[in-house]
Amino acid sequence: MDQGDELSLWLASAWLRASGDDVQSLVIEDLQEQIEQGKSMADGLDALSHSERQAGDFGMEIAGTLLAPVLIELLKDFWSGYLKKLGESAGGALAEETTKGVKGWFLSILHKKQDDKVLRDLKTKVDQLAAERKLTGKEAARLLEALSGPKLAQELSERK
Amino acid sequence: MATRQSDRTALVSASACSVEIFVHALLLLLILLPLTTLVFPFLAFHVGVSLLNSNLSADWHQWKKGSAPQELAVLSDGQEIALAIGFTVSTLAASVLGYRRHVRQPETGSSDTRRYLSPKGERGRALIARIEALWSEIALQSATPPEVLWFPGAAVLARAMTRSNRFAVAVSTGLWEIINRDDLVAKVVVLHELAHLSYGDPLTFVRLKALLDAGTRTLARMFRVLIFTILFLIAHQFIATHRGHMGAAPIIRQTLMIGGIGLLALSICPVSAAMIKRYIGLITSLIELRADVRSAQWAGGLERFAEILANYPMVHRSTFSDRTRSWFSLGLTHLSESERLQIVRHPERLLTPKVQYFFFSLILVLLLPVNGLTPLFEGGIVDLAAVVTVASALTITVSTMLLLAGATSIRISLSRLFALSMCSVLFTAACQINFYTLTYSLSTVAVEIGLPGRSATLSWNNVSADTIPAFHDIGHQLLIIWSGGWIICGVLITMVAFGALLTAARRLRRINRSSSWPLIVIATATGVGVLLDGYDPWRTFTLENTVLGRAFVGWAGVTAHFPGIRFTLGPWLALASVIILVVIDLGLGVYRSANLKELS
Repeated sequence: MDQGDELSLWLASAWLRASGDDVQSLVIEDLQEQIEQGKSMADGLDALSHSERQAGDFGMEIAGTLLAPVLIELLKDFWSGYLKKLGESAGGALAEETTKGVKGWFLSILHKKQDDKVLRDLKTKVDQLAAERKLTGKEAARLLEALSGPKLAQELSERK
Repeated sequence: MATRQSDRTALVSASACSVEIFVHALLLLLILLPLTTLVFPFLAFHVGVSLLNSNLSADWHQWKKGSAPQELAVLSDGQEIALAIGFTVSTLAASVLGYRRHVRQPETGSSDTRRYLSPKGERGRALIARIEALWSEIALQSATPPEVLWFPGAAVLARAMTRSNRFAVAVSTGLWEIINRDDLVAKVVVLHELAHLSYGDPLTFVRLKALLDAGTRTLARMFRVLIFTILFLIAHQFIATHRGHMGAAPIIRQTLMIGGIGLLALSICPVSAAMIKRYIGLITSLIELRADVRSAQWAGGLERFAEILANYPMVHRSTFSDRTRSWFSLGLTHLSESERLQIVRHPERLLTPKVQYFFFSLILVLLLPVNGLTPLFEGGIVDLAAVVTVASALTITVSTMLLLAGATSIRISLSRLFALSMCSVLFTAACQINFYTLTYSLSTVAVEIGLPGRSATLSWNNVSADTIPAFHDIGHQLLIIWSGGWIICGVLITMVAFGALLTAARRLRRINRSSSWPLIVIATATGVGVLLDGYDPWRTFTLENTVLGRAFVGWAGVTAHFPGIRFTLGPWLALASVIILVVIDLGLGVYRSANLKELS
């Protein structure tokens, strides 16, 4: 699995659980399982928004919203930037920068709240999505609250 | 009081939908499916065996004796028929086995790509509890609650299904989220699925899918046999022409001839497959509509149900293309959103057949004779049987559903009665349209191209001289149906019959019209009427000396004197049977009141 995808799924699942969005977290866990079985992240996300009508379905097209794919996109964008920065700061040790190491780095930020810039970046991205109406005000508020609360670090540690 | 009235309307509407579904399913199973899985393959195999036998026998005699080809074939007619029957039976057996396998293991070979999972955690338990609460609310406590599943998906979706012989309801994550908020739309969607379970629909869907697959497989085998026969004939003709040193031109012309006629013959496979697929699609969409009606009854009435969905901003507004899909799609499962809401809002439409969606089925059966093979069998009686089936299905559903409508206070408007009468007359009249002459003309054109010694130039004059008479013939058929405008009189007479049937049905008090026998009596009477009206002398000559043949001729004699009553017999026989039921009903009333007097 691509490092960015793996980190996005790891953080999204824990973040959603910490914000009380358990159903959305289940979607992420299922997506992770599918990717481990060989499906690509793009196909998995695409399948969430497409559905073929079948006999026995309700059959009316009623649009709903899913927080999970929106959050995944946000985190993919976040990790692509940070992985590049981390690689550069590690100098020649880029190849040795393992997923486990990155997870540890992020957890340490959460625990110590030292590198406020990383969390501020995430908060800005959530606000941007809310401004673009990809997230409702309530969803954004829940996510931001979870980001500054202790539950996220706990959920992430369990999934490490 | 108003709620009770609304409940009754919804209940009778659901019964009316059931009757409509039953009539269509019965005619599909008894006539259309046997035609496509038995009769058509037999004809194709028989033609294939005959052509191979005659050609190969001639080659054999020529090779053995070095003489000119002889007429004597290796296989006798009886042997040819036996061989064709053998092929048909083995094809059917393979399809039956496929059907059984599909019904026993519906998940195998399913095109469903959703991942159904069991809900976990606190939210999962809440979801199961919510669905079980709805299950008990709708008085299905006696039955085991369905298994609850979920699948990832942003849209608000749900599905009723069977898994390991147990009913299940699967909800999308989009729906799961709004169930938690006690959303009315979520309740309606889940009730729709529970309605499916209350009717045992998931099993019906599995069976319909298995039937479609079995029918399609049979037709695919028939298609391969026809292709093989055509290729054999092309190769055979190629060798013969090549041996005769006639050059390339005759080879091309003869290939075009055989290919052209073969193409017409091959049309039987896609047309039959489309006919079955559309019919099954229509039945599926009617089952969905019945689930709407049933869930509407539980959700507070038909109007309330439509209101909840119409006012929900996230429900897709149907486009023209969605509506076209309802009319012409072969993969139909649901009518479009707007159409469903319109039908549910108007009990008048629920209580009468949804004719517009049935129209395409008529077009498809009318295309059957174009293949040129089926008309070879007894003048095309099987094509006529298919079109009479569709016409009967329509008129039977009108008369039986009007009987049920009589039990409600819903008024069926004159315009609706007129539309139904017009459709009944036109569908019955369509039995007399035969496109075979068109195929015959096109085959003549092909033969003219392929026959050696004729002019190779394909001039417009030659083609038009061969094809225009076919169009004249079809025009003539339409003129006979029009019969100087008397057909309009037929529509009005049919309307009177349906109106009187509805009025008489309202007088039935003691006979339970939702029980089977009054419906069977009326359906049989209507079917017989349509059958007699569908008489086509060109395609029923083999029945001349039978009771049916004499009845055909007798009724045709009557309509020759009174052209205004053509195509109206079905509705009138239905009315006659309802009048008999009313008389029995009155008799029962007198008998019961006499008994009461005696007792007092």
